[in-house]
Amino acid sequence: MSVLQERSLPGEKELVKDFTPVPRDLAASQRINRLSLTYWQGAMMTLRKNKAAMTGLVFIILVVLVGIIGPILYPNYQKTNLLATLQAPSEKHWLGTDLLGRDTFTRLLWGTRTSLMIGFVAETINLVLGILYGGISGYVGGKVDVIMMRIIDVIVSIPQMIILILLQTVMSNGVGTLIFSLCVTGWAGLARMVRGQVMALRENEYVFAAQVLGASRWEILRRHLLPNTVGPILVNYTMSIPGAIGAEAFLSYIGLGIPVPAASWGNMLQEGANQFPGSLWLFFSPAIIFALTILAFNLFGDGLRDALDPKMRK
Amino acid sequence: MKRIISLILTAALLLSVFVVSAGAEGSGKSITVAIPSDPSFTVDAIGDSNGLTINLVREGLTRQGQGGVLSPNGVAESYEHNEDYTQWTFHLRDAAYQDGTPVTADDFVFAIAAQLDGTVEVSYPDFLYEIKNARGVVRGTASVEELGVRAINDKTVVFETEYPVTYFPQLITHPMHFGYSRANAEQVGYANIGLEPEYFISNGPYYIDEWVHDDKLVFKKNANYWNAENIAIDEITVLIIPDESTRVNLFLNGELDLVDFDASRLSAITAAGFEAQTFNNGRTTYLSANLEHDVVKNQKIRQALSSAIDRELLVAGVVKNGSTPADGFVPVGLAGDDTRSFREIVGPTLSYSYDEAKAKALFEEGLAEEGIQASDINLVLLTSNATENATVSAAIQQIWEETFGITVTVDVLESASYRTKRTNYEYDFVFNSWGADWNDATNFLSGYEQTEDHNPAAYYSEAFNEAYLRGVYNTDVVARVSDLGEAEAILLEDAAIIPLYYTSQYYATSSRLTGTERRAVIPYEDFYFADVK
Amino acid sequence: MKKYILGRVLVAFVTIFVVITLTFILMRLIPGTPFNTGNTNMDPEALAQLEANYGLDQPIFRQYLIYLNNLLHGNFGTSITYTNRSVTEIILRSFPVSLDLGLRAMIFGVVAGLLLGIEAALHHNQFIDRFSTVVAIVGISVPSFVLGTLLQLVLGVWFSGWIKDIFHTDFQLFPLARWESFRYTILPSFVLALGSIASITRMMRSSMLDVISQDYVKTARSKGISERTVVWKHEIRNALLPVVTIIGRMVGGLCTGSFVVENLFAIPGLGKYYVNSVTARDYTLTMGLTIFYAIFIVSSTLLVDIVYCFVDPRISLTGRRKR
Repeated sequence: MSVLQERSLPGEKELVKDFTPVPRDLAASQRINRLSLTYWQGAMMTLRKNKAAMTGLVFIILVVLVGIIGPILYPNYQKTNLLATLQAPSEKHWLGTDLLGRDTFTRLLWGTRTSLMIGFVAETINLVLGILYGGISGYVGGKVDVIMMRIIDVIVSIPQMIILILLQTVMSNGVGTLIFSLCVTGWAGLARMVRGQVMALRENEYVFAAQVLGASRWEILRRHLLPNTVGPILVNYTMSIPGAIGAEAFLSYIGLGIPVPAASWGNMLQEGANQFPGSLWLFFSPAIIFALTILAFNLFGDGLRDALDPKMRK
Repeated sequence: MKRIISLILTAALLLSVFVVSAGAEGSGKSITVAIPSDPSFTVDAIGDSNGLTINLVREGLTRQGQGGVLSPNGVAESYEHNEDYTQWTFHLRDAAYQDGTPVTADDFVFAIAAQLDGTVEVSYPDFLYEIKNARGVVRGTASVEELGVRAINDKTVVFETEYPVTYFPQLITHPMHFGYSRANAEQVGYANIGLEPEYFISNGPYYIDEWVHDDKLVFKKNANYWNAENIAIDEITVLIIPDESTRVNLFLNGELDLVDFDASRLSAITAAGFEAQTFNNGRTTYLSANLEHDVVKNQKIRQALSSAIDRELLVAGVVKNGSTPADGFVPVGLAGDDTRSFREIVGPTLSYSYDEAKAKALFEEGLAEEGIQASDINLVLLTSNATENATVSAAIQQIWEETFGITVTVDVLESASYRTKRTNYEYDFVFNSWGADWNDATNFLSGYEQTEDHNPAAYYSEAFNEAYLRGVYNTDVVARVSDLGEAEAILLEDAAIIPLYYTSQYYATSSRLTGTERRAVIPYEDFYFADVK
Repeated sequence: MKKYILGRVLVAFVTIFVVITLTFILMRLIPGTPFNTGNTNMDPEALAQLEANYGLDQPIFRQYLIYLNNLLHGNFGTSITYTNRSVTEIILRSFPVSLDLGLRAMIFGVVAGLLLGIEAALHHNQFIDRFSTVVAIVGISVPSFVLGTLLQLVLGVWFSGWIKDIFHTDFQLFPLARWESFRYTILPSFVLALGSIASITRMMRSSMLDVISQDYVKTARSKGISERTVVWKHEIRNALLPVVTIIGRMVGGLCTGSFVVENLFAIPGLGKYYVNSVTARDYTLTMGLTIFYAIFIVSSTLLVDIVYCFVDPRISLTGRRKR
């Protein structure tokens, strides 16, 4: 500024003399040069700029594609070969073979399908249930809240194993049953979190304002409270998909996971850990893709969270 | 970072000096072994994980010795039987409990009666049913006085049996036939026997010195044991380590002197310079057929399914623990006569061993008889979720599907659900494994003898019954084994069961431990003759 | 306040009663019996006698009433699989070990988790943030049976062997199993804590980031309050709110024992009984453990709710708004 002033000093008069006011163009001054963005457009733009998140997203899409297409290309995941059990990786078997001489690569593709299905389906159901339940409980409050939360206490107190064994005998023993049993208790954690968030948020002024303006309870919950809990919910969601996959691994450990001959990351990990420290490919193939997928979910989840929070946008 | 590491190392070194100086006390010979769960010392304590501990602290009239021979005797100094093997008389030696009180004939009468009349809780009183009127006592139709076990005097106990039991000395090495001090039981209360070291009195080579539940037991040599001078090891510590990989790691660290392990740990054991050994644990793994179901009830189809399985390949490719292909049902290692095993006398009885061409031919015949297509067949193979069972079942599934073009569904269930479905015959084939409770072929064959309440899904054959009972009542030791072998052959000709392999178990011992006895019946591991360098 | 807590305690009793009833029903619905565990079928007569011993021959509703009556007299019954051992004895013996392990893991998890979470948020998108992400990923993605097996092998076997070679001593810094002195607790506590470190880190980071961008924090900064005070008094304190809930919920899970960790490290705790008693259909033991666990869960949520209103004065215990 000062530099500019000094330079303009000698010709000050000329400047003044040459000064003609630009005619006021009301229409132009109202024009918005920068693109007008809705909330979601803005969020997407921020997200797209976040390299880590986009890498995560691309990886997730890739893994999902692998889970969809892989099994179609390599259908023989059950094909045993008792003459070639526990073979190290080779040209014929890229990731070696397992205890029954089945191709680990093929099984990994099928395992990807199974595990992603478990993760996505179970957690999406949990997400919907959790948001609705937690939102209602937290917003309505009072006696309803107390009762709803005690129902959750009951649900998480009953040993999940009993429910799973019961389901396995009533339904068939497979992916559907496993997902179902993960959903019976899985939504409780999210519901509690959403409730906590909603309880904190409902004291905000804008909620009060909306109330004064005559918005219905449902409207306030839907328009104000739930959108504001999106950040924590998404973090929770992206972390809980791997959580569900891990829960399946634990169930495999106690012998209640996806039964043979189906493949999942969980039972492959368990099989690999059983062979440990021999036949390392059996352990590391599912372990690496599992870890990378979780990394991807996290990177994407973080990015999404930053993008969805307008306060974080720069 | 470097500083932290060096600090830690220094601290470790200092501590180690302390630990080493503190650990230099113990003088006697001691070993440490591990079992998977907290043991039980109740009067009827049986089961694989109790086999070792119960035999350390209790001794029956006879005991398992080296190489399948019953020597030395246990509490009995000598015994004799009548001509038709239905009455056995045992003469007790001067044996004593850990507190010095003598072991009397009455203690045997007490312990056996207590398990039958409900004084103590028992799951499998069947184990005692060869004793005259034992079944009647359980059912309330006979009194304890009528039971076929009597004490003639303090030093003589007589058993009467329901039928000739040529293998009676073998049978009574099973802990349910052991005696227990009546005086001690009355003093501590029947329900408390064996709950804590102070509620238990030992007449075995060791006594329980310390018991931290779910953690460890310390057994010390029983100075009052009659053969104490021939017991070399003074102290046996039994750790409770549930996980096999942990047990193997502890062994690799030199903290255990004996470990059993799976084929998957073989490389780790041998890489550390230990010799992997196997022993026959008296177990046969087999499939049982549901003889009531549509397709499975056809004998030719069952025979075909049996012929399709390459058992050599199964044990070499999948099981990999030294198990051997089954050529009969009674496993190798089970006793026949005094010198030879059952299998040595009888030879192979499985006529439907691996032969793919024969399998396919039999299968076609079976299909024609039933008037169905291979593609219509969907077999349910029920199995429990134990790793080996589930894996082998998956292999069988593949073999059958590929050989015959049928569909096979493997129904993997956790153990209790599996057992329920098995009891209710909710399967076409069920994956089974049978371990010997006593050292005789009848242990394997008795289940197929049908008397009352016959279930149509189970096996029933006049010919089998005839041959089996002929064997049971035959008092000629060798001829009897041949009769039982005949019965076994009938069972396998009918393909009511499809034997897969005789199970083996890998184990390794530390370099200092010698003379450990491994055998096909409990105690699977025995340190009676062991020593440390 | 007093009235509220009293009310909640009453509700807690009702909750536990419902848990008892439901578990009782579910346990009888699943197939299998506690008996007949060998490879041979039991003599039906002997089975009937055993069932009568445990009252299992009665109609289910009557069994339920008898059970409730026994509970009222403080009698949890005797275990079916561990013959003649009372359920109370098993719980009293194993729980302290699980509690000890759980508390160690808890302290470790909370301290490490909060530190990592706060640092990650304060240095958003910098090294420490990425590092915390990696820790969280390891903590969540590696199932504890895998991590435990790995650590046992690397630290318990290889490292110990190495120490042995160099210092000629049997001393082990990380004994690979059992529960004796402090050294023995390091590996299992770490394995047990890793999951909680991960979730606390993520939650704290996310929550901190939320708070940092709040107006009152900006206001506080612009007022010239020292950075230290802003971080401690405004950011951390407010960000702790949602984290307290999940920590509270973890107490129940961590302190009542973990099947995997106890199984792997041969720790004589309660965790393995949860799985084993269900597998063995040990009705009385399963019921006893469930009730015990439910009491733990219910009282810890109650405690969390009370703590919650101290941390965040905006929330009233009664759920009524303060205006």
